[in-house]
Amino acid sequence: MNRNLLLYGSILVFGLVAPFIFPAFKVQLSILCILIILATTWNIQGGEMGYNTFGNILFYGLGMYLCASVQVGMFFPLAEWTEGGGEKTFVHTPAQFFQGMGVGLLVAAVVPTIVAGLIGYSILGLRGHYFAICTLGLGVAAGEISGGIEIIGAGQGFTTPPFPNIGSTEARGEFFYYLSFLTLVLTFVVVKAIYSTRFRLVLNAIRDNDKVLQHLLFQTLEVLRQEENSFTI
Amino acid sequence: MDFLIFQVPMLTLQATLDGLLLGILFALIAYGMALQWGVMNIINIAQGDLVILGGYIAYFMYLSGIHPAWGIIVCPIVMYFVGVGIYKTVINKVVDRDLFISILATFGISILMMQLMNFAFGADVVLANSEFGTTMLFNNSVTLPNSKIFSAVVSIVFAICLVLYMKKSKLGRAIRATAQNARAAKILGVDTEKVYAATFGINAALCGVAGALIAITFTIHPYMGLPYTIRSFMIVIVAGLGNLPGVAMSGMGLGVFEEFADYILGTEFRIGSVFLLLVLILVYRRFKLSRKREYLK
Repeated sequence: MNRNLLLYGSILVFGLVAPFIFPAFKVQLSILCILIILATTWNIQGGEMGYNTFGNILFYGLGMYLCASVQVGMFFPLAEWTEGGGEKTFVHTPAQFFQGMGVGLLVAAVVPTIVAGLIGYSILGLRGHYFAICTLGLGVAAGEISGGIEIIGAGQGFTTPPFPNIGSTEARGEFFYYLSFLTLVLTFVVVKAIYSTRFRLVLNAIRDNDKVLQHLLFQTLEVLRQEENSFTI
Repeated sequence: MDFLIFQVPMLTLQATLDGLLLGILFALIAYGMALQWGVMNIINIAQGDLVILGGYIAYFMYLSGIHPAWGIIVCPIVMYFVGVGIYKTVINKVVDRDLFISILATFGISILMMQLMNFAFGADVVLANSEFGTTMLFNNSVTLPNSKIFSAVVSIVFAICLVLYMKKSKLGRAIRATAQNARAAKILGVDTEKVYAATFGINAALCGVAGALIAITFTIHPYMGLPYTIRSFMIVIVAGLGNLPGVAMSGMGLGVFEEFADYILGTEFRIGSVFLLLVLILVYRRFKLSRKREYLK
């Protein structure tokens, strides 16, 4: 236990000082945090429950677009923003930027969770090959369809609001790094807490023998994904 | 239904004919997938990328002055060896392993092939112009490019040849025996390792032919493979493994669906609608089976 605490403590300290030790790699470090979050949450479903999914990018993308759309849509007309050069016409004040982002992150956490619940209800009854390919289909379908929706910029993409001009030139990188790192720590703590409950045993039981479990009157549990954060667009 | 396509009969006919010709080509790719799935119990996510690679071979023939239609001879030969090579390096290590390992391995091959093709051939959308001309029907109101008719005919010929080969040849018998019971086939002297390699090679060769035809008829691009994989998978699960007429029918059905989706929803949602259709089919089958307390497996 003590050894684990030491390990977590040193990782935490390293995480806190990393942007100062490697100032040129802040973006990469932020992406590293995001990838760890994605891997940790994938493991709930793919590893612990044994449902191998290729479609989690659907929730990731949904979170991205929702956060950016809310951040823009709260203050400016979204359609005009996503038109060519629209992002140059409107400028967020620092207060608008952070307020929009906060609400956006909240929406980006709640809506994909609901979507995951609905999708999970429909497709978690599939097994093996079928589940894997179905989720692959969902992921790619989401990409293809969002590439056709005009209001979110269609094929040319969505330019997110630029970081407001506050603090030093390093502020942007540091802000996004610490936000990613904080999310990583929270995700880790939440997932670890989940794994210490009976829920983990249920997940493992689903993986090991779903059929027997159903006889034991458990319902196939839907793992709702909540960590689809959106600040890495 | 207030869509133009349903109000103008010629447009409906055009979309239907286009869809049927396209669907025959899809059925050929799906046939390869069904063969390999049935024999090796592996779903090859790189199926579509093998198709695109075949297409690039035809395209390079076209660039070097050879008519791309000859690709239907060259591509399957080259792709057979590519297929056997992939089998020997990766697939033979994942046959009989956990399902996830095989899907992940072929998914990895798919990503690798995409990136390598992007690196080697560039990210441009290309086509191998066959200059076959166009056939006009019904007083010039329905136009069919001859290249589409050519691809449909070639696909049918290849499918028939393969069916005959599987029925009559020694290897074909060995493949069928392995599909039925690999262990029993092995005991009775069938070299299953060789059969697996040949099956993967034949699948790649079929993808090669289909790729050459796609390069002639449509366009190719390094990242275009996945939709072909999904289409084949969908055709196979709708038809059922080992149901060849079913594969042909569901292939054509999918082709027609795509053409109508293109007209009704717009070209930008064409591929998206194919993927969504896959999800809907799976969900429909899952709910249908769950009433009997069964599940798709």
